[in-house]
Amino acid sequence: MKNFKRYLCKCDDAWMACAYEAEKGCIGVEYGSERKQIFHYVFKGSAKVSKLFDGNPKIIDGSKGKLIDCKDLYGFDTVFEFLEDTEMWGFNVLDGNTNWDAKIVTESKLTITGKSALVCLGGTPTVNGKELVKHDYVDLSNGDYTIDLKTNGILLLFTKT
Amino acid sequence: MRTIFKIGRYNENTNSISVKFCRLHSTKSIDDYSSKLVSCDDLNVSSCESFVKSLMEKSGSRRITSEEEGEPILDSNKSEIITGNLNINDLVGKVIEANVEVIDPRNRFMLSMRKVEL
Repeated sequence: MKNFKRYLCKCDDAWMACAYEAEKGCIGVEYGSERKQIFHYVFKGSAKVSKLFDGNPKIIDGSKGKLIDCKDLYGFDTVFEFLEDTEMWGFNVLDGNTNWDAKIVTESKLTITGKSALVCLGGTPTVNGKELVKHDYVDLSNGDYTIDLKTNGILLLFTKT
Repeated sequence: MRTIFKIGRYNENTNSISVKFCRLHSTKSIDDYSSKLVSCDDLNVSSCESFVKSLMEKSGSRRITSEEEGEPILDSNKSEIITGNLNINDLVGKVIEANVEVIDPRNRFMLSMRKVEL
């Protein structure tokens, strides 16, 4: 039996985080009622993913742009086949509103003008001088923020549109 | 959790049983629990194993859970739920509720995300 684990955490009334750890060859199924992810971040590995019986799978591959928009699968019965040992993190919406933008932060300054969440997925970046570590998140209110990614910081910014 | 049941009566005319359920390690006798009438029409009676499994799936597990939740809680066991930043020293001496549903049979676990205030 190959190992496929899912991890979940409700972070806010509007969104929750999830993570997958799967061994190469695992098959995963998610019911549409539970399929709330709209973005994936791939730490390592790759997976073939598709709507159930869709016949049109796509490859989620960490080496080709790590933050992946998967809104097309929102609310659908979804099947994964993990092509390698894979670790992924996911951003899920809880209120049915998939109108969020996401990006990997590269700037040293952010100006926030709407509901936003900043998630650290690696390294020890700082936001307004406060150090974050993997799986820390900040609910950002409107204003300017100073970012220091240091050498290895991974920060994702999610903004409701 | 290991569970037990005891059939008090079988009514062949209606194909139903009067049955009591409880945990094996209950501090009360199974005879002190109330009976429930369960129809055997929906149960798998092809073998003892399938009968036990289908009885527990249909009625037993839910019954034991609801009975357990209706049990009084000892004053010394009254608990609190903790959230947020952890300081183990603050927890010493407290009775803390552990929600076992954070781990479910579909290999889902709690992801440890931490909210940071700037």
